[in-house]
Amino acid sequence: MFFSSRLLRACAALAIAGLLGLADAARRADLGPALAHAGAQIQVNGSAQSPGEAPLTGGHWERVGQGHIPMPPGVPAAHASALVALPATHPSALLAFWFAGDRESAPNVQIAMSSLDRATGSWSPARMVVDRWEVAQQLGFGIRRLGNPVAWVDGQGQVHLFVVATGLGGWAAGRVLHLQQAAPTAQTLWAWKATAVLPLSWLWNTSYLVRTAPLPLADGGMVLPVYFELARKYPVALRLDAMGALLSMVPISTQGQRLQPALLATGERDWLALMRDGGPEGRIRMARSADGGAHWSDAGDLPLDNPNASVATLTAGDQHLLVYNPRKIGRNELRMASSADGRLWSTVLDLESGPPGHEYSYPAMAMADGQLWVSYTDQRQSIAWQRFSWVGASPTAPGKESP
Amino acid sequence: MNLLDSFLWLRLVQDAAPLLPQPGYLAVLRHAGWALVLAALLSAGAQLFTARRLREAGGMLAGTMALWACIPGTWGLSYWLGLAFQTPSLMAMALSLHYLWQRLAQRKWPNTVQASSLARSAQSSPWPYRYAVLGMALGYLLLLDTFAYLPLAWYAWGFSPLAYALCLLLALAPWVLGARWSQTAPAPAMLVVLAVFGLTRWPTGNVWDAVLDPWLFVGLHIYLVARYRAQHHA
Repeated sequence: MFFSSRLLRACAALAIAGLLGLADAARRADLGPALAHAGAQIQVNGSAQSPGEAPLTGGHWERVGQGHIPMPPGVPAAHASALVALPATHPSALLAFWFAGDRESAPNVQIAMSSLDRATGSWSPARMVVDRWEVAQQLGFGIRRLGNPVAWVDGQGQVHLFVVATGLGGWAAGRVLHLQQAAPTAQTLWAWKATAVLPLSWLWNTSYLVRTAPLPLADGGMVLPVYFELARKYPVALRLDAMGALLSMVPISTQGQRLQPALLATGERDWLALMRDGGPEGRIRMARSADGGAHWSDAGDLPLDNPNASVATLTAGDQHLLVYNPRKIGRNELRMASSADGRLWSTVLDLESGPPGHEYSYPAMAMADGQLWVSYTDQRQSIAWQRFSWVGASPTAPGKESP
Repeated sequence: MNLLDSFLWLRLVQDAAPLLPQPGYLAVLRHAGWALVLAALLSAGAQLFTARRLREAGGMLAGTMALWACIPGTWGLSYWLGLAFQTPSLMAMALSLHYLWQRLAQRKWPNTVQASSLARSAQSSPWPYRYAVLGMALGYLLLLDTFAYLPLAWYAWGFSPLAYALCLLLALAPWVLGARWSQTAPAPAMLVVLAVFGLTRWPTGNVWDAVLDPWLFVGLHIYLVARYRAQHHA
């Protein structure tokens, strides 16, 4: 009698927990099988494009312009730019974001933004668009410092901004702040509202940072690479849906020294993450996913030196591009390389080469109107840009749809 | 396959999209949460004093800090506590509320049989100890996962409906094993917490954040050490 009563209660408890669990499951978006990313196609410049389309053969990248993005007046320091291409119907072709203030981690650092006018091809005067006090007021709790921004255009054409916002401590106390345009129109390009801090860690949600560009998916969503850096450094891939809602988080590597993963899709399910490494070897590390980002494993090093500095990747047609600092020590050189498979890279050209002590770092890339744009930190004082066109016998220009 | 995919139970065992809370009420929750936790902590701390005047002063300080935590903006305490520690877990809030209610009941009705018998049975019950050990184990798992020492992403699993169902089962365990209602603390609080979490997803949409936060994890260590010492000194 005693046992049967316990058995009955156990069955009832299982039924209650099961039913409530099912009710909870029913409220969620249908992610499909665990291979959340499987079958997703890579999107380049707003058009869904499989790798292999728009081959870039028999030509080369030619630099057709370079300069500096205007700084906000009276601001001496700039770092960590991010580029995002806007839909073809928008009067601006590109947006650039970076953090600017007295110095890195200064209390007055804000996120600056400039837009590239599609008609004139000129950058607008920069404006501060994210202020930590204003964001803190919107969220209801304090923010100590602002850091790296990353931008993304969702399936509805709305721009999202992910910004490092620290709590109590330095960068290791970072959180990933999610902002959206206050209203998705050209007139309100400058107005942003904080929507949330992404919940990524149990430890007071600290020590997750963002730096490298998202990998857009054909379903309108994207994979946002982030990294943890309190004591141990490891990269994580976040999947967000077409509205920017968090869907899943998957560790990319747990080696403990790897950070700032730059994602490359070498096939529909075959993805690579190229990572900055904090170890003494001075290499770019690599991780691979063979199932569309559902699982990742370490895949050795690239045969490229790197001084523990952020890299940027982009896929243009069937060509993968990488911008990185090519020396084991010093960020005074910046190089662009290309690859067909993401593993073997050949130099395209040196973007910058300065004396020791100079810094050209934290690159970002985007395709806009068939041209390749690269931005990077110049001496921690401003954001430089270079523009490239594909010159040659390619049947289609990169970033444009195949016929 | 499509038919199988449409079954809800698959979402229990496969990846499921996290359900996140609406941001609108999170600020209110943060104010209320820190007010409750601070009031309970300071009130409990005040009980360590033997002098009645000091205990009363501690009580007043607890009330003042709770009010301070309710002030919005940079002048409010929860603005700065949120900067460092975000929002306390629902469990920490529920335990704080329970403690404050007990204090109030003892003060208002010091000689009621119910209040004293409840307190006695809670002290002798094994369930608070069991839940504290469980909470501590969960905390260590989450801590190891935070630093990527586990082969699976334990924190991320807290977004899934299966983790929610598991917590419900754990909260129902005393009832399944036939424990008396008066001895099952903190299972009723956990059930309330899970009900609130199921409806609101507070504070982050992750069930681990609802049932355990790092400060509560620290508190469980203190509770277990105190209980061990009390048992060995008795």
